[in-house]
Amino acid sequence: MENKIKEKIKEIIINKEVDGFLGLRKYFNYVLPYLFTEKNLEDLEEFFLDEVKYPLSKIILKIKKFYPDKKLGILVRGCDEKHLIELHKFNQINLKELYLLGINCSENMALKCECSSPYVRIANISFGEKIKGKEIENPHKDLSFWMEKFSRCIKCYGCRNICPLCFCNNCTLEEDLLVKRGFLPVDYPLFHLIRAYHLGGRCINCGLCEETCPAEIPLRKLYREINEKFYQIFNYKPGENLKDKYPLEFLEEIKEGHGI
Amino acid sequence: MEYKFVPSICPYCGCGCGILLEVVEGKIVGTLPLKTHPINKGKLCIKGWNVHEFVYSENRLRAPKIRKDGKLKEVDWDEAISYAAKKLLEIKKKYGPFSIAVISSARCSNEENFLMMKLARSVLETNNIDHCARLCHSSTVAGLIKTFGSGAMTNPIPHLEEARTILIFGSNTTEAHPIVATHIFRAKDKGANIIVIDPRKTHIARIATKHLQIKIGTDIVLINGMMNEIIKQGWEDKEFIKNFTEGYEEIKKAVSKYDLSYVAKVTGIDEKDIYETAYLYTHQKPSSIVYCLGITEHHYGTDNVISLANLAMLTGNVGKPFTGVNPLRGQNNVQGACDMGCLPQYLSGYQKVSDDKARQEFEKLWGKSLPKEEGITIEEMFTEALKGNIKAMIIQGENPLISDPNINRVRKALQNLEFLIVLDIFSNEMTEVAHVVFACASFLEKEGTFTNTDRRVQYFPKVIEPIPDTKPDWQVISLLASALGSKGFSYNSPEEIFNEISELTPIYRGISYERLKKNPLQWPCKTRLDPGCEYLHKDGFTRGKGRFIPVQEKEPFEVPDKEFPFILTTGRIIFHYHTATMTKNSPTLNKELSNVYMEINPEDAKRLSIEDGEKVKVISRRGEIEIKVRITDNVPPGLVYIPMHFSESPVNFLTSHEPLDPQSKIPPYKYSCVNIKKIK
Repeated sequence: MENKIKEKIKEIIINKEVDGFLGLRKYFNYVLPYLFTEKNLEDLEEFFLDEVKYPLSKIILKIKKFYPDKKLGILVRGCDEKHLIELHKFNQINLKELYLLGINCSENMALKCECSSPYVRIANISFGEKIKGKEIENPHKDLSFWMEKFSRCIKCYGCRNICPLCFCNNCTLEEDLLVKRGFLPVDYPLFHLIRAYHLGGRCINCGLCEETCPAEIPLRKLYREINEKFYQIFNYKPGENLKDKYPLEFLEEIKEGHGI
Repeated sequence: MEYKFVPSICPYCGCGCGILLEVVEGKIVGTLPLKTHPINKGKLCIKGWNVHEFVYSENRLRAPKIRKDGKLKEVDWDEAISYAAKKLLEIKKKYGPFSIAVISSARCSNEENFLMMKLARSVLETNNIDHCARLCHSSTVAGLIKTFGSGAMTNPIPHLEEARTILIFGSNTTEAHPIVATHIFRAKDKGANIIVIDPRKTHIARIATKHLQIKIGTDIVLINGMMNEIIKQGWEDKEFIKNFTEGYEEIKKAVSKYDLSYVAKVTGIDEKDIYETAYLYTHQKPSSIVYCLGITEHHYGTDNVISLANLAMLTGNVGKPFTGVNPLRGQNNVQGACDMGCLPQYLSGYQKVSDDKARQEFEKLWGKSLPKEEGITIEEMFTEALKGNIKAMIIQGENPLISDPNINRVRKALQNLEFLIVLDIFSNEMTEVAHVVFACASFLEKEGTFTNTDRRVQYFPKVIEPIPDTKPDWQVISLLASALGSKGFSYNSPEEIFNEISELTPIYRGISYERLKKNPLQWPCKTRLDPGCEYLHKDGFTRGKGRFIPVQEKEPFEVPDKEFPFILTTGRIIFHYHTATMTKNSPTLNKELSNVYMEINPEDAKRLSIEDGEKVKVISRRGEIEIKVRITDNVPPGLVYIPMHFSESPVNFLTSHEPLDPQSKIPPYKYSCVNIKKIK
């Protein structure tokens, strides 16, 4: 499969379907995000499919910012694709301008990621057999569990920094009036709850935040709890469907024809 | 389109985390954690996440400078180098080589430290070379070499995860070594006992399963008390003691007077907690000791370290996986700077300068005879500068006007010099007093290797070209050595320097750039096939038998009295790094916290009618500062705490440079007596 993918990437670069393709590259013993272009095509030899996840969808946004006129391709798994679907709805990127090369995740990867939908849906082309994911139970934890976890926080902002769906220009977490700056322990649970609420209806449960958390806070679980509530109220699952409207959008529609 | 990520190593603390620099069209625009790195596995602290921010700061030095008519003027490199060389030669000729002293930088690469060592010994012909390890873990090096035979962290950081009991002495791990703390959190999640021994309720103390809020400076009493209890209960590891150690009978005798009631009285810790800690450390194994400057920065720092080594040997908690005596080293490359022989008594690889055989190896390769008498340490350098015996200094990437004890004294010493050369990447307090300033390139603008706290030698590549008119330290040192007439400094790359390091340093002999580019390697690594050493003292100690050395409790050098009724202690906070030369130039870090504070207990604040946020005057026998207070129960009554980082209120105006620990010459940073006065 890896060779077929490499061939495809080469083909779309040479055919100028894309000017650059964002994937992963093996670099000595490390795995890094890498932008393959016509100039460095030979590096495709080191193209790497690995269980290592980087925030590729966040990185492509940044590349787009630096090179707005370039046509870009990106390697997507189910979660990357979900990020992009939400980012599209939030007008952060135009999916029509991107070439998505999709990978359906292996059983191993799906298990490791506790992923319920380890496959792509809208990619231009996809590789790998589509398998069913597994719904993971999310037993409710009480406040003392969370307070112990939150108290460990070292305020690195890594959960926000790594999150493809954190794209606000001004971040509430840095708002002095809400979260006192320059203190450890951080203002908890405020810091964590602010972020959790902001991810209501946004978080697609990719787990990048939890992986990057130096305090080992089970952030994914926290955001899942919020999003389960969100689903109960609005019947909306972020990232699942490009056509589903984000709740705030249909609230706007309700307003039309009512009130003043 | 030129958009790439370049892997590198974080330049702040000793964790040695892997980072990725995001580079667009030759400019660094961001940092990501490196996912596949053995230490941080995709995690970083706030400093790591913002590594890229200081590089293009306006405050970077952008050309070498020479002091002319009292003012620093920018000059070209040729002029700066030849002027510096001329002055150094004059001083060397007039006063002799030992009138010159060199302080190398634990923030610079192994290659650059090695070259500074070579410059001092082979060109300036002085063994007066030291660096800031003197001020943080010299007592570790001294204490662990005496007991174990090797002065470094015994076990790797990831081993902490599998320990079932972790004793953390005088380390606020979460703030000072955040990614080491990650491994401790993981251990906690697996059910380990996390026992923190600290006079302050630090962040890690609040997360611990048990916090022993010890009276500051009484660690030896506690550790001797634990050992006495362990022996009394028969919990010692008899097999281990018999097979791997010597001096057991002496230690048994030496600790016998430390019964629980006495220990509880002196340390302020409940007898039950001491008993339980001794029980858990010996019964829920593997057990690991982690410690930091709360142990080392006392005038009996080496004795503190030795007593921890004694405790580990007594219970067989060393030389095995997930155990050990684990000092957390401060800077990204402080371990490396020690390894490279930037110490007055050691050549690289801890080979004694007085050892003829070792010295001759260097003499043979360098084609020069080297001085054999040991040099002097940092604080002694300043003492001798005050006396007029040290006339010139070279200080590289180090800011003693913030970081050394008794700053008033340091300033006087520096002013007493005839000539001072400073190498730095930023203007700071030191560049203001220098005669020559060399504008250096940061770690992102050069390649090299750093050795982190768990002896892991790691390669970092050049990410961008040096800022115009700056040069990497290795080039500056080479130019200076050549201008001083040496022919042994014509290196084309750091790799050539590293090859010389391998050749002369047995513990690095098996390491090469080729190997490091694939994987970090932990020393000792003696041959090209040696996979490196994951943990030390396996199947026996480096020195042969582990040596028990009895130590007894020590008196403080000053005690709280009417004039100076409070005890002051110092430390790090997570948002800044050391003298903040780099972190203050990082907007994100500065936005998080831009000024310093003093922690004081609510009872004390109430008694002195001080409000939270009020500015007060803090006075010691050495000096005084003004500082805002934070009222918090992080400190018990009678103790105040000031972080070390900020030039706005440098705590080291208050700390004392004496008495030095006789064995390691470390000054007593962690303890001073002060008074607090309201500002009217």
